Amino acid sequence: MSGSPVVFVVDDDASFRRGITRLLRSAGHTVVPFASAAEFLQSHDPELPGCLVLDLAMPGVGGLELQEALSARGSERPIIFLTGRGDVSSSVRAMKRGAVDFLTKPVTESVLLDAVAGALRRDAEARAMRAARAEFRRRWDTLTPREREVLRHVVAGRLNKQIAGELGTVERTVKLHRSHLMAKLGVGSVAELVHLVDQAGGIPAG
Amino acid sequence: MARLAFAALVCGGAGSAGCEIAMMRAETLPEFTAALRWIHLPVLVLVAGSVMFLRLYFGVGRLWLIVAAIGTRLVAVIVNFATPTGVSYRSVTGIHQIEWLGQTVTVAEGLPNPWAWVARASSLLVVAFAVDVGVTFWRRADPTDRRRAWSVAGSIAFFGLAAVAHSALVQLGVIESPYLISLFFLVPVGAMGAELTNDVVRAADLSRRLRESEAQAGLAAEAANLGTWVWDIAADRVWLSDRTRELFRFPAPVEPTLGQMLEHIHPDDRDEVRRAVDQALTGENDLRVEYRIPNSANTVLWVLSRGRRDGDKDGTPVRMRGVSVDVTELRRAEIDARSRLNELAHLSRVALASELSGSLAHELNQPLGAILSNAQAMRRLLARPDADPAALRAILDDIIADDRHAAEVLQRVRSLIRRSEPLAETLQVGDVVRDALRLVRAELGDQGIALETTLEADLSPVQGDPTQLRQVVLNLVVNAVDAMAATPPGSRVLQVTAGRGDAGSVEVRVTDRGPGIRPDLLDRIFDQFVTTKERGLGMGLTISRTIVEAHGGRIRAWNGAERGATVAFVLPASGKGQA
Repeated sequence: MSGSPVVFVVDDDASFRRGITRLLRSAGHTVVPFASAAEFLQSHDPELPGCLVLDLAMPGVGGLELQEALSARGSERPIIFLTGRGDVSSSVRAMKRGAVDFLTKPVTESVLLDAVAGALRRDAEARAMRAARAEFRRRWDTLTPREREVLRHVVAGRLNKQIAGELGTVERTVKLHRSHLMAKLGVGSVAELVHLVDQAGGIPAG
Repeated sequence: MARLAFAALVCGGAGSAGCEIAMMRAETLPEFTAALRWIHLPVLVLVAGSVMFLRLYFGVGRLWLIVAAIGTRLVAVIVNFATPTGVSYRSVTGIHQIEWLGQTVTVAEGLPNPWAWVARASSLLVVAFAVDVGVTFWRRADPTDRRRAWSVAGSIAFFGLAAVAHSALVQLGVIESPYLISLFFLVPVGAMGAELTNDVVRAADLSRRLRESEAQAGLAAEAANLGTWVWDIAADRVWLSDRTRELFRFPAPVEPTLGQMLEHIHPDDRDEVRRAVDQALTGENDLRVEYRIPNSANTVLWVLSRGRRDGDKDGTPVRMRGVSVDVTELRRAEIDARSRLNELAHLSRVALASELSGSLAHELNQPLGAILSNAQAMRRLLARPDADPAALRAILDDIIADDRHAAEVLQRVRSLIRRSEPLAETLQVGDVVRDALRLVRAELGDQGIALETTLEADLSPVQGDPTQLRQVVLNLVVNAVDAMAATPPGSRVLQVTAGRGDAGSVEVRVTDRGPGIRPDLLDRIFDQFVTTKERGLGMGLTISRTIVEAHGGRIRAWNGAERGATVAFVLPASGKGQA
């Protein structure tokens, strides 16, 4: 599902849209333009990596409305807003709702390309994060309840002896569980284990 | 001439009376017969006079009767003086005195003369003529005039008959009485005297009323500062009242020709005045024309002239009479008012431009942004070895187009802000609406307002100033946008239509989905300083109405059935009903 990232451009002004698209393509990006938010939503695939360059003022569904709609669908695609007028209240709203950047037209290539690069990086990071989490979750599901318990204690920093005492078993059993769960999770050390759990956002409940 | 005939008539009557008195007092036969002979002269004058008078006074009557009456009378007179005893008697045998009406008068007896019948015939012809005249006039005249017919003609007829009958009876010896035709003559004299007196009295009365009405008219004209004039078309001379003379700057009392009057009019207006006069002479309408008269002090007087033609029986124009009035003050006030409207419209436009400045800036940033991105893209592409010239050319085309677009937006803004004299162009309302909408596109986008436009094709062209009409459309659209500020985003719809109205006129409607106009404000919404907005003066709709009405149109507002309001204005097609 992942491939090279796409820059989605949504702007109702045809000539401006063409100009931006050309500029981005000339810098090597893959660009898919849309003339309206509705068109974009129709064919939106949240699995496609990439970011969104979005005009703020559009008839019908405007930029801010589209931002809300995407967030309602659970999409975390980074959005860069473009606007012909620097309206403070709109920019604050946009940023509070998670926009990556808020640029004014006319926009120079360095500003735009930097913003897009940043957005794509954020998107890549977020995806990596999500993938890691998903992977962890998958592996977590392969752990036995005992192994999960041991994991909790290990991540809490307890020694094998203490864990054995907590669980009412012997140290050797604890060591066995430890090596099993480390193998299942694909980590080689406690440090790596802690790091993995951290990245995954913590130990899942249950 | 009628009076001359009447004088002859009366003289003849007097002469006859004189002879009759002489006869009555004659003491000898020769005295009697002399008088009897001479009487025929005054009788001739009497006959000729009565016949001519009837003819001249009434204007009708058969000529042959006149000739016959006078002719036979002439024959009788000739016979009268040619024969020794006259035409009345062949011979007078004797005279004697009788008692008559308490007086002693002389009467004669003798043998009647057959030639006397010629004389009698003449008298009867006079009678016949009088009857002819009377009847003909009676038939032709209106009822008020008919009295004259029987009083004058009838009395002459009666006199003739009575005279003939009586003198015949005396001559034939049937009755004993002096000749009395002059007595009978009193009847027509009385009748004619009464008629003449009547005429004189009536003439005096009419002349008094005429003088009064002239005085009234003069007073009225003076009060209104009107100059009056009468143009005698055939003679091409114009009578001018003092005021008119003043207006036209004629130094001395004079009756100029139409051409001379035109020379006092401003050269640029002469053709129009000439045309208006021609139209008033030949067409249905009265004269109504405005023109300038140059003043000595390097200024002009504005004059309005109105006139009406009088025709004769056949309808040929004989005279034109009219008034002229100095309307310089009015004209100046009009020009003042118009320039003030201009100023106000300009200020309002500037206010509108400033209200829209945000979205106008946006409107400019679109093409500018596109140009920048395109140019920068092009630079990158040129840095590659595989640059495609066709693609590059496409980019340049876009840049050029965007530049033009930006220039147009600037041009429209400039025309909004510029203060200029109103133009009178022939324009298409659809284009005006489209231009106005382009200026607010960004505003609509910002507010998330969906725009629905329906501009009918083949609308009649309209005469007017495009800047001012655009201003009206802008004003209505901005009002609609403001009205929908609180409407939920999904239902913000603005409808703008341009379509055909009655009689080829063009109607523009702007409809919003806002809360509508408050019912208590609905009929005042175009008045000054009425506004529901927090900002602004409340002058926008007032100025819009003034502009629309100055273009000969009407503007009105109403609420939609469920929600929202519509403001619509109608403009007449070019060539009809321009203000």
